[in-house]
Amino acid sequence: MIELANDVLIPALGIGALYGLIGISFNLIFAPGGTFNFAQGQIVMLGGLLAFSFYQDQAWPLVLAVLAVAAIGAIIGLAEERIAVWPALRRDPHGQGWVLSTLAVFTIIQSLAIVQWGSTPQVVKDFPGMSIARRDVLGFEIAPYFVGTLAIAIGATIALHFFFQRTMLGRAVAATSQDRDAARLRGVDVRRIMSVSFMMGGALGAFTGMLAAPLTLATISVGLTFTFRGFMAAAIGGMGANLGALVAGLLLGLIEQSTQRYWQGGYTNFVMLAVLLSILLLRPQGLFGQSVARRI
Amino acid sequence: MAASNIARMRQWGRTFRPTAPGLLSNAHWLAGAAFLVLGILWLRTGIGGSWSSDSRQNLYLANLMLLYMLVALGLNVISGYVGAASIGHIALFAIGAYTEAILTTDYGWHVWPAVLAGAVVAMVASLPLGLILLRLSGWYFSVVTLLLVVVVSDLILQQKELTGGGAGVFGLTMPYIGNHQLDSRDYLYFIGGLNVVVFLMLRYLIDCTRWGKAFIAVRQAEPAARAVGIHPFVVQESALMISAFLAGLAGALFAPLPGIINPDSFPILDSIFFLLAILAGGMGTVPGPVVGTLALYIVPQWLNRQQALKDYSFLVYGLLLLLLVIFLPEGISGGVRRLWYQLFGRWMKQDGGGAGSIAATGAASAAPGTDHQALQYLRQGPAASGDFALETVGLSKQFGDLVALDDLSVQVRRGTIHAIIGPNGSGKTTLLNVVSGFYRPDRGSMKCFGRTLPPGRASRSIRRGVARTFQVPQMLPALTGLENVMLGCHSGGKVTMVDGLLPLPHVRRERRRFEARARACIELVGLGEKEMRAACGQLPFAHQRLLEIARAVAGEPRMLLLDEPASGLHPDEVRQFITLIRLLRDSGMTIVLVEHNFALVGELSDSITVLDAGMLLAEGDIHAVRHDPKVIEAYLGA
Repeated sequence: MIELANDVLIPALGIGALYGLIGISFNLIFAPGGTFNFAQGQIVMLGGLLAFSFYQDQAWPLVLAVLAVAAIGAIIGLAEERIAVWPALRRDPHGQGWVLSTLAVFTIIQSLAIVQWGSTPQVVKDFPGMSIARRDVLGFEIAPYFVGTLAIAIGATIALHFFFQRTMLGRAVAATSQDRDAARLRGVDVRRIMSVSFMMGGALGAFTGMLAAPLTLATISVGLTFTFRGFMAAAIGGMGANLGALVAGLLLGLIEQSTQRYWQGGYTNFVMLAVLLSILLLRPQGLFGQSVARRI
Repeated sequence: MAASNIARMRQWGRTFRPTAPGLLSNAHWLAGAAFLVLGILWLRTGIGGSWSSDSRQNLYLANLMLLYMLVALGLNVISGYVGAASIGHIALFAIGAYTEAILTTDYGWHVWPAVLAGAVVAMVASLPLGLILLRLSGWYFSVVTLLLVVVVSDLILQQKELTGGGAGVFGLTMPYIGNHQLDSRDYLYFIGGLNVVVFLMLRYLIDCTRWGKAFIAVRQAEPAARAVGIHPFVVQESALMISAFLAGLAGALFAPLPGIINPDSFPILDSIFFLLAILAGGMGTVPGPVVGTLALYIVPQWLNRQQALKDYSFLVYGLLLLLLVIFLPEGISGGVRRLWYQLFGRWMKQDGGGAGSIAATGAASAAPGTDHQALQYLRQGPAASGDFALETVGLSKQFGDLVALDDLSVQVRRGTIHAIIGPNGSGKTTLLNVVSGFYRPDRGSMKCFGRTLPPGRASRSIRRGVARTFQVPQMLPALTGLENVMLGCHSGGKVTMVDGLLPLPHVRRERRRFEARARACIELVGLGEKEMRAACGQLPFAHQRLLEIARAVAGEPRMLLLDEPASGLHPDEVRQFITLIRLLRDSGMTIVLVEHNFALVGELSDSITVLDAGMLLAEGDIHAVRHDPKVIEAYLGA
């Protein structure tokens, strides 16, 4: 029993929290325009590589490195919104041209990252107080790292909840996500809301990439995996529901850890895809999403 | 004027499709076929000057490019026409290739049956993906197809006994025809020929049968598609099957070419190349994939030559994709066409698109007699039985806390014009949506001409003789008026997506029948040749309304549901509308209309149902309703 907790449950929660955070970063970008950012996993991947350069290689102080990584993530998000997403939405507000343009950004980031960092995985040292080494706590073996990621994910979910409920800007984003045209008529600057959302999503994505780097190593190959897991967390939780993304992320962590333990790690993606399809077919709006009646 | 011209050109560029099979349409596919031949000749002579110098590599690349063209032709069906962008076609290609490889090496199959098996296995593997489209927006499909690539490559690596894991399957041999084993030059002609055949078949299916319009309708006007009897899921799933079959076929044909396949033979970048190709050529246009693959052939070719640029291949693809989406979403052929019209447009007199009203254009030719051809079609329809066209018992429908229909029982007498009126939010349109199957009622039952209507099955309702129009006309803007109305004939068609690939006699007959019927219906509503030929998006609002009625009538309904048909019409146009509706009633059709215009309702309707807050308030003829105190209170009171 304790062995189960040590080897499956605790890592599942810690890693699942990372997936939840990526899912939330997908949600932030999805909220105002209903756009799914195919390049989001790549921003997460970049976060890890930047963490390697700033924190490991250049040995910047942690706070400075975190701020720099998040800022670069925000800038990439903003640039993507301006260059790739907004032109497609302006041409056809309810079309899906952004599927292809964000996919283009996916490939561009991939290429630039290979040129800059190569494809060898790089080690990033542990963050202070978040060692990956297990420690004995009340008979359980717990890595402080997993506690840290879970705490950060829960904290981010709560902070975002207050942001959307209490602040003027947050409420404007929420209004835009419910009905873009109505929000525009009410004087919400939809374009600015889009930019802010992409910046927040980019910053959170890059930050999560940095957070994950000591565990996954900093490497370009994680981009696709993070796109995969983050989308699943967001879709299973319900697009736009941040709490849902967190819960679904933890669920994914559990699936991953138990597949690795009881079957083979190579089947993790296969099992996850099967779970995703079953949940989406039974409940298309996700576990925490609200279904919207179609108007005819 | 200039601005509207440019807007029109853009519209044309996007999904221009003339009234096939006219001159332009023939030119369209002739151009495509010529492009193919030219491309093959170009490949044959252009690369390195001749076959002699490093010809093996060149032949291999040329073959590969033709196989990719085959994938792009299929991808265009699901991503271009049906509008669900797939990033997973390289996975389907890989499934086809591995199936062929495993069957020929481990099981000793001959190459040809193994190739066919590869295509079929890829098709079957794609079926679960289609389920995504059943209930979710198109971009979910795109993401899940991306996941499919990851999962397929995982499974290939895991199933080592079957696939050889990372080492792959080797020792594959080229197929024989008779006693002659094909070499890679023969293969080039064989695959080129296959491309031409597939191209012509798909072109025929899309331009000349009911399915091409169904594809576009599912993407652009899904409610209209369901109203004319198209089941969106069936169409999407079938388009996906065609697409996956071709991808699997191309993959299975690919495997013998290098003689060895492993997971590295199928980079995810190639999936992006397929999308790039159809986007460059023009998504959702018949020649798009051909033009795109050939135009972009230079890209991987060039990247392959420049060793230094290998690292930047992702960058080149990404930048191209981004530039195309932003600056040239209609693709090369659409962009050229737009440029052509911008340069020479002013000398080419465009027909259609004027702002005439019905009164100006159609009134003279309208006023058709009762012997009008379209009415004869209607009378040939199955005889109606029962006194009531529509009977509902205890219908209830709730949206969250809002009660839209509350235990509503309504009866509509056969062969009458029946109006449903009521204040805003009284449930009129909800009733229409429930009866036509767009909403599933929470409780209650419905009968149409004595037969029970299945609840919530919009695409079945036309088969029960129920047609409808929408508050905002749901037309396909890039298609002509005639094509839009021919869409209404869909439910009367028998041609499937298999026999529709060939110009067989019965396929051509169905097309002619549809066209004749659509023409008759357009004439019946008082429109003429001009509206038939113009792109529907260019027509004035009133004409779109009338075309929508024509489309509904083309489905030979016995009951026609009209949702606020007179809103936005000029008084002269309303007069003509009244004549038309009476004509339809006199030919035996039952008309149910939801309408705000009280004067129109009074003049037109034989009986009236008044709703308030989802409940029946009053019913009867205009005099009874007008003097009913409850009605007066609902309309005038607080």
